[in-house]
Amino acid sequence: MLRAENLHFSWPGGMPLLAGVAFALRPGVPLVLLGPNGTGKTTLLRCLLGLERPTAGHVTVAGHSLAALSAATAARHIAYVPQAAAAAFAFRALDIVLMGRTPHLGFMAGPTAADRATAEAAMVRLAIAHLAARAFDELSGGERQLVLVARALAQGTRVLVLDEPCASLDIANQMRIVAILRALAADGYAILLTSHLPDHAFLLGGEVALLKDGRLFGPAPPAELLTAPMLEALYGTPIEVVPLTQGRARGQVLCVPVMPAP
Amino acid sequence: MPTLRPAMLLGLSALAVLALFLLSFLVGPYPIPPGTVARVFLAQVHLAERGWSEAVEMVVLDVRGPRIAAALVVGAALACAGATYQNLFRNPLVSPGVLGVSSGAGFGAALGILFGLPGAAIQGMAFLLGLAAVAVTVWLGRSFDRHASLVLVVAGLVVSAFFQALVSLTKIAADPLNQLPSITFWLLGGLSRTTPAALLGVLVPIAVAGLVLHALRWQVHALAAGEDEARSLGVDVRRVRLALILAATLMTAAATSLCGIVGWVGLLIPHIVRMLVGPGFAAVLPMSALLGGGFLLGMDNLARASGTYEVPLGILTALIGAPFFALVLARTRRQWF
Repeated sequence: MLRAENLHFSWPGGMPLLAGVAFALRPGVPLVLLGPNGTGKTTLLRCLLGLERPTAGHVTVAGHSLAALSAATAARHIAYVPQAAAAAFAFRALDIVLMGRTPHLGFMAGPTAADRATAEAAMVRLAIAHLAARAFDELSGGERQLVLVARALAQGTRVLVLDEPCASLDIANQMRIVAILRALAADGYAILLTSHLPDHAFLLGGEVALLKDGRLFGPAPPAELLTAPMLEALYGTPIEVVPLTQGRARGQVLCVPVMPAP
Repeated sequence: MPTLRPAMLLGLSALAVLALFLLSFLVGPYPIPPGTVARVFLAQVHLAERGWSEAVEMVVLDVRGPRIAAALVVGAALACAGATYQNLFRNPLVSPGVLGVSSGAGFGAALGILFGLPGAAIQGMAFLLGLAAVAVTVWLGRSFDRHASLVLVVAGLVVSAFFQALVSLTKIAADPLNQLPSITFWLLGGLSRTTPAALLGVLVPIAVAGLVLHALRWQVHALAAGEDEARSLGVDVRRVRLALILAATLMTAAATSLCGIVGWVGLLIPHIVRMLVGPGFAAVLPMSALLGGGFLLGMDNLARASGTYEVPLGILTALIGAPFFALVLARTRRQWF
């Protein structure tokens, strides 16, 4: 679906941020991208979205080279879910979701009844239809994130790229996003998300890739890649990977930082 | 939150502006009864017999008519340009002059007056230098950073300051008895110079620019999400941004060339409009045109009613616009923090 081939990126005169990143995003297998702060996750996402042009290598989507696609065509293939921030103006939630229809509008034309129906259906699908008329700024962080996911669904793409969709959400809202992403993957969406919590890779049941110093490890199933030595090397702090053997979470895996000795 | 549907509000506003338009023909130092005004109109379509002096017909059709139309057109242009810039820069506090168009136009007009050029040439110079100032701003902004819009605001600040200095220089060079008052009055804004030809000259660029903004209204809507998000929503941000700057600049330069520097319309009206119809640009654009035109017509009526020695339009819009703006901000504060 979405494929990165030998991506290199560096700012003029700067250190390389990406050095030969390659992976393929497949439908049905959500891919979690882990990596410490400042390691190039954002740069990689920006290259995948066409916001930055890689210094070497290229991105293809559904067989087309991303660099050759117009913004509108690219937006009919890849949808982006940014971290939920407050908008500059007080939009209603439905206005925001309706923005997802932008790449499908004709010249001089506004959204049709069908576009509105698509936007509303996306909100229904995420069980947030009741938020449609609410001001986006007044929603909780979790609700805002869902509105932005709905906007991406309204865009009608098969590829979803999410920038830390669980950041600053409480545990229940994180699990809500995880459940939604699992359901979307089951429907055949190709999903890439970044996260700071390795647990998300286990919870999503797809694949995981690690980005460190511009190099990508994986993608691979979390059980293979997320070992204690690997995570320690990635983050530079001792971490234990603990399979839970009892209780209702039996069978799940937990990544726990080791408390330094006093 | 809007309680009425935008379409309904738009219709109501259109009716109110139409009423104001008709009433405006009664305003002025030369009193003409409403019945006579109505019959002058009807006579144009051969529905009434002429029974009035030629002076009456001249006042209605050649003096008040163009000026009233100019107030509507200029007010609409300034408000639409202001709304466009506010959306483009995602900043509700920018005005149509943000990229230096007013200062450039002011310098053009001052220079024209200094050289003793005829009115049409002064208008033309104001228009061209307004465009030139923005061209310098865009060029400067690009040399700072090709991608970010915000640097354009900084570049606009630089260019505005430079052209304002040039205006001051022109004032010093001007003959203090004739030219200096002309320059001062031009800079304070006013529509008393309006002729049918001058109006026609600005109508074309404003209409073309308005059409461009209308065509891009949904792209602008998505642009409110921020440039990166807009791009991922399929907006060709660089091209759309350039088209918006061109259109809004064309509008402002044309409007300013006709009425001089009239502030507050482009800042105040979009705020009131967003309070009424929400922030979606597709609704903001037509509503801004209507309310901007209506507001400036109302202000110009005040100017015309203020006696033989007119209060300059720019002073009136500031006197009434500034406190009103403070009031609007107090009500909408939570919308932009």
